Amino acid sequence: MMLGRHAEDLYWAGRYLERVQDTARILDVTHQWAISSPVTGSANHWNDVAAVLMLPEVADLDPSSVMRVAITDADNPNAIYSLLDQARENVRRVRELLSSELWEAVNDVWLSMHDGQDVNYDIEHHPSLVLGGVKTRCQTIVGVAAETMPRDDALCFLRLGSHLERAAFACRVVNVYARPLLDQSRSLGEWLHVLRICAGAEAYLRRGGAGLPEADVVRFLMLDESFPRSATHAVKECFDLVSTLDPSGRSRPSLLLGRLVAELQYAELDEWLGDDFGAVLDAVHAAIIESSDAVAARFFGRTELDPFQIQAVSAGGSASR
Amino acid sequence: MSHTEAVDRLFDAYDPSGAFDEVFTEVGKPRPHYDELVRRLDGLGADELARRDLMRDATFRTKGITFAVYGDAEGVERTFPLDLVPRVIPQSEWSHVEAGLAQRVRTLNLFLDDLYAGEQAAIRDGIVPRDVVVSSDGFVREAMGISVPHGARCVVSGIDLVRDGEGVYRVLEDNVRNPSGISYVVENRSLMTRVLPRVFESHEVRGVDHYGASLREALIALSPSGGSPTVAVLTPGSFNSAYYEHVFVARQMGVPLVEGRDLVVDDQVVYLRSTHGLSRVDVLYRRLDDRFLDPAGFRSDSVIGVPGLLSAIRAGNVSIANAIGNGVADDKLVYAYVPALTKYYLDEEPILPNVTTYVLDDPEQRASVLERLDQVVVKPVAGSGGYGVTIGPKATDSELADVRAAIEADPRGWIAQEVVTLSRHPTLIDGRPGARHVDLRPFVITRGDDIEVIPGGLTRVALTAGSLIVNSSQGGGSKDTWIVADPPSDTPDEPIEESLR
Repeated sequence: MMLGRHAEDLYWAGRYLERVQDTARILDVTHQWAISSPVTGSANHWNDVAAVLMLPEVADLDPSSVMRVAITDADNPNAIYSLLDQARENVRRVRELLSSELWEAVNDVWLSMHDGQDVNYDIEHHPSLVLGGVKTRCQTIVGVAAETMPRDDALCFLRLGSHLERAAFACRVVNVYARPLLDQSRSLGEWLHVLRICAGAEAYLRRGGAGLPEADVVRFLMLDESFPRSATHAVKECFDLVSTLDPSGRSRPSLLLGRLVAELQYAELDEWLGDDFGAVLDAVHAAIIESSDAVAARFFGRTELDPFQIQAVSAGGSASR
Repeated sequence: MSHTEAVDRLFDAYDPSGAFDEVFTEVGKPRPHYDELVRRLDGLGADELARRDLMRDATFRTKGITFAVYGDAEGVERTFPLDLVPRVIPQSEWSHVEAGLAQRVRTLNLFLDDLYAGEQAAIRDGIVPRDVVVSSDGFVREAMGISVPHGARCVVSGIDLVRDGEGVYRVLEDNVRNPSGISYVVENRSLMTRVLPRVFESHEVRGVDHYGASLREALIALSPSGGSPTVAVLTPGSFNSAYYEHVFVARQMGVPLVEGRDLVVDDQVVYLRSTHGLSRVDVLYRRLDDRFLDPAGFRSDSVIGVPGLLSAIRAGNVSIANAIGNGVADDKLVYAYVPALTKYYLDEEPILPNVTTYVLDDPEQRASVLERLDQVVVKPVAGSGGYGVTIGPKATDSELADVRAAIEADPRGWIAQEVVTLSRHPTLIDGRPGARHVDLRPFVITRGDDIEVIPGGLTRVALTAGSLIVNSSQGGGSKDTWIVADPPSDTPDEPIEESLR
């Protein structure tokens, strides 16, 4: 049991830090891909990145602009800088609930981008080294949280945010990248590029399977239950976390996530890929966002109270709003 | 005088004379395909390059890209040096090399297949003497009669090339047993794109990332059965000097990395011991020497092999890459006959010449060489890693006497070659470019009936000034090798094709 406000801070810290990691990764992977691969279609790389990251209108979709907007632009609330500012603030507000190592790890990633050295120069001249560092530090945060926090509500909300963000990201990546690739036979290299955006290339290769990936990669990124960044795995984690937070299992987020898990676990990939795959992905993405709203409504003490929650409170619940 | 003019540029003091220099024709005059690189490195300057050097070091250390240097007092693991100045080869030049490499590997595949699974026609028709072949250390009697799908015996080949004083590419050595280094090619590339991305980007460099996929397909093509064959990489273990590469290759292909003790042969079928019981293996990419493969079939003291593996191979239940017995093509004496074998099997002139080589088993050639031992390079026929090589002009009298005795005792065990003054390339030594000798190890994959040359390969650098020994196991370094689109032609100093004649 904790303050709704604190839960909200942690949930969003989880979402922002995951978003930072995903952003750093997609920028790094795309940069390497763009400079290493033949020139054909390279302009599209940055269009796709802008679409996945939902960047504000960028006049000139060249690599430098996209990098700048996605990393340091103060006007972009989803720029890495902005996200780190916000995440750090959120974590600072609930500092007493967290282990000191966790606070330090969050502080560390923030500091790495405000270090006094010319970050702009570094991003201009060797972005992979900067982005690689950000990504590693974000992963460290996840590890430190797992290792130093008791399995309490605070950790649940932090992880709930992470996993929800991860699920939404997977949907967007598959929607923007995989759909066009399915229409034409593409090289393994292009599929590996999509997998790398979700840190799944090695895991995918290890699973084996012969021939060209195509639908198999979609299955891996959306439906695989053992790969931690697949949509299904992430959504299932969310469901389990909500079940821990509200064992009654009858809250609205539980219902929505439960339904979504079932839908994903029993999905027929052939049906999905049939007519309007885009619509299917949009629907899954929308369901994830709806779950997020439901989480907010149920746990953060919002005005739109769920009937079940009113019952619980009036039955002698705590002072939390 | 402005500030910028007062600051000396990176290559101002670089002297390219004394050998064929890859980059400069004379002081301050880069070849057209190096124009852009020189300009950009000059722009970065020595201080910034030093900074990038440190970043490179840190990344290498984190990744654990190491190589054991035998006999090195510092211990077992050292980071494999990558020099930040890449080697650049324009596509027009590379096409020639590529064709030559494919031709060479095709010839070697045909020769080995003819020898072990065919009629030994090349021997019968007098192209290569029988006793040269059967007396070779690499000739494996047990491989006779074992056929290989598509005759793809050299699945991975490392054909070492050098450039002589006239800039002509020559084959120095064929490595078709267990050539290593591809992991450094891919890792070096990955380093360069992270540490010097803008320099890289300003060139249109052909990629090397597909190596894992190509190798995997090549191994699958070897499978004795259809369907979805199980491929594994067989390593001697973590103490092996190239272990890093074994891990790398297994990971790139997404296949298990196994040691001999993980495998068991039952009824001539190979299995790996898994948590779910025994699981059949169809293709093994083995990084062990032939003689250690099977204590039942070869050296009985081998603890890294798999008892019964040879019989499984014979029964056609498992394929291995590279095939058993390739050592005979690795043999430096057989090397001398490869041009003739090319003409014989393919009815083509060899595209890439050998280094002029003397067969010391032949009395006339031996006599002539012994008269001028101090002018030639003498190599043991079965050596590798640059060990046992005597470079005449640099050897002491006592070393020459030793070599003379060794040749006379076992003429079949040695060859001699004219000294090739290897080409040189600017290499950062303490932050400033110095000319160092380089060679090139490109990697060639035989995939079924196709041959694929990985663009570029490992440029190896002899880090000691004047040294011609580039092997990593003796403290050499490396460079990334960029195959780039040809520069826009103004008037190049000399037509590149001419230098290759």
